[in-house]
Amino acid sequence: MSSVIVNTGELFVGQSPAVIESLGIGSCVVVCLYDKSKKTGGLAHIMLPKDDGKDNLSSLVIDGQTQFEPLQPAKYADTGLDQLISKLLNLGSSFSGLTAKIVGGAEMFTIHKNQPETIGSQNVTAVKQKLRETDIKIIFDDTDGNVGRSVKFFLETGVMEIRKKNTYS
Amino acid sequence: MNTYTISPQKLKAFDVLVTAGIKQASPALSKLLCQEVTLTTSSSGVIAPAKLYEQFSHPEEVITAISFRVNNLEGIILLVFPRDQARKFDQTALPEVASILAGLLLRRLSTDAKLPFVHSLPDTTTDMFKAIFDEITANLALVSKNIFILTLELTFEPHHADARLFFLLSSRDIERLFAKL
Repeated sequence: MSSVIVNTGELFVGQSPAVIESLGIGSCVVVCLYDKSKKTGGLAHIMLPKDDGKDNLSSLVIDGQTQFEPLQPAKYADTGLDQLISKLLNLGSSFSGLTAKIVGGAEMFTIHKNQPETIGSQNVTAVKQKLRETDIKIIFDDTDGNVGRSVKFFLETGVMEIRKKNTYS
Repeated sequence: MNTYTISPQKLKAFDVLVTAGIKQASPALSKLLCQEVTLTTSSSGVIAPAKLYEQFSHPEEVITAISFRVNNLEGIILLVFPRDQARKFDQTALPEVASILAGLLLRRLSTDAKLPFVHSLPDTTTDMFKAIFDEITANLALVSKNIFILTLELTFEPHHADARLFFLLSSRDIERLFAKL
């Protein structure tokens, strides 16, 4: 069956037999939540650790053409996970039945070493903190490292497939 | 809602400046690669991050990217080769090739904008293009809510190799830069 692609900053929730996919995850963190008993789940593709509330929609007019930035409900770990959980509960998921699988948070370059913590590491920390605060157990963790990843999340089984660059070489 | 406008006149000025800077690279590249190298440029422009993903065939397309931070700017320069194109060069030479191009581009910008720009040491990675660009845009997003991406297509002869130069800048710095052109 065809899958739903979730791009950076986006999220999607659904139920079996839906398949959700995110491609080319670098420093971003993908969070997959699953309710085994209801076979419902969702995926959020987190880009940054924390919403500072300063985001404003902007349009770019380049050579007379307006280019709007897309809405990104899952851009930040804190507000994005709130939305993902809320949408899953609205879909009938049981809060106590939710478990999490997390992937990403890589460091693709070393030129940002002057920062105390890489953006990937900041994202992983923020996601884990938010899941701890909400008492959602992490049952699978493939984060950090320096390689890009793609994931495919099957809501029939809760299984997650991970592909890395070497799969293609 | 903020609206940022880049006029056709500014785009043209940028194109002339960048093309002139990059075209000076052939002698240095010839010396580095020990053969006569001709570098041609085409199709420069400015795009929003949302349009970045249209520049590649698939998010998982594997590319080799050599990146540099730029002092005095919230900006990153990347020289990007599709994997099959990167293989046309001695891999150890790619960071030097990128350093030559980034150096000439910034020298030209420094002269015209009367601002001193210097790039960092090169950092090379080969991976899925989206994974690479997500980290670059995320790091810039920490310091600027709006990012512009300057692009320039390059062809190296006699290698028949295509590459693309990306210059990612915060909205504040692209305005600062374009105001000087």
